[in-house]
Amino acid sequence: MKPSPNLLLKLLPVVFTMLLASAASGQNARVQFERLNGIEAKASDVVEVNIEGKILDLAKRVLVKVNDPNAKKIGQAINGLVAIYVRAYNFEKEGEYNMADIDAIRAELSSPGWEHLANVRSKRNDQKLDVYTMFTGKDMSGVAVVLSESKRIAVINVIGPIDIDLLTELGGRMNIPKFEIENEVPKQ
Amino acid sequence: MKEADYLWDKSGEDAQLESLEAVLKKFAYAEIDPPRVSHAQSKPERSSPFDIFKFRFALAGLSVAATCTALGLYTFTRDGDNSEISFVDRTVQQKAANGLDSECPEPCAGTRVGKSDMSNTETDTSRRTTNSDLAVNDRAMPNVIKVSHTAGPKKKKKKSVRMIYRPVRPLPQVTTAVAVTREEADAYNKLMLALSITSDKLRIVKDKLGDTRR
Repeated sequence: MKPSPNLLLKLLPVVFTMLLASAASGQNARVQFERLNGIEAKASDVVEVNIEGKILDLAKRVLVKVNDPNAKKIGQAINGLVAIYVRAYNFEKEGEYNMADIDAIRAELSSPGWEHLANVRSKRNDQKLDVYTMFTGKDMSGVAVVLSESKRIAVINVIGPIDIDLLTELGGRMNIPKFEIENEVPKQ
Repeated sequence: MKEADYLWDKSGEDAQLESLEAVLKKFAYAEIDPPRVSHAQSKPERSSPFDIFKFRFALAGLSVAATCTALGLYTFTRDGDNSEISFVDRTVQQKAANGLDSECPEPCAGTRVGKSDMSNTETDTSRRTTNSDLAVNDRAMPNVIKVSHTAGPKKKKKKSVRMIYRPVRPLPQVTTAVAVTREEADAYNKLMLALSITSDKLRIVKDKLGDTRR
């Protein structure tokens, strides 16, 4: 049975709108990390992780393969995850980074759409920790964590729903299991 | 003529020759044992090509003797083991009789050793091990000692119980090894790193909130 061209023409705008909406919701939750480019050169340790698309699919596939209850829980917690970006910088001395760069990210996350979930301030190490969440309807579409200390900065951006409680609970149990690397990629 | 005869066969007289003989008598031949000459002196010292073979032959003989001794010792030790095992079994019997065996506070199921048995088999120094006994022993000492029983005619030298000591085998290691491709492993490691950092920061918030509530 061949679909009529008229039907396809009618469905095309709907599909296009849906794609745009999903892309927009994803883009909205994305933090602009470009502001941190200048900090990277000053930091003594840099951790930069970008997981999205195919890499995320591969990682999820491993979570399914691993026969471990914690892995199953992690898989459950990140079931709807679209992407996760992590930037962490350690500095040898205090005041080596410009606080304005971090404040700019905080300002971006104060824009409509984001909700300031938690705000932690501590005089010890001049710690400032903020957690922001974004919801699309009733579903969580993004999480952002911004941490700044005298010698440390970390910005985390999660796109897509994620079980924060479960993730926090499993924090100490994310040990990486032993893998047997296959020599040849199975033919598909 | 006389002179000539004396010189020839000592017949007749010859004063000159006799005087000469008297003077030279001390140098005359005497029938005594010849002087002993040492072997080294008698034979010129020379290296024989067979000497090295003799040494090797001696060495080979020594090796054979050592092997025979080792075999003899091994056989002797094995016989000694048997006697020791029977002693152990008697101890077990005694424990069972006194009810002190920690592993079998009551006489073990299938074990034909008890007070009455002890009285009956007082003279019988060796314990007969049944299949059920073996099972009990295996349960008590898994993977370490295996007890096997070979029953033979009574008149024969009895090898009632034989213990074979084996090294404890390590248990099969249970790992969560998963066969994945290199790309999958890399992706998984990255995701775990990202999630662990995320959960670490979220935990800080949770801990701070917990402290505030308290």
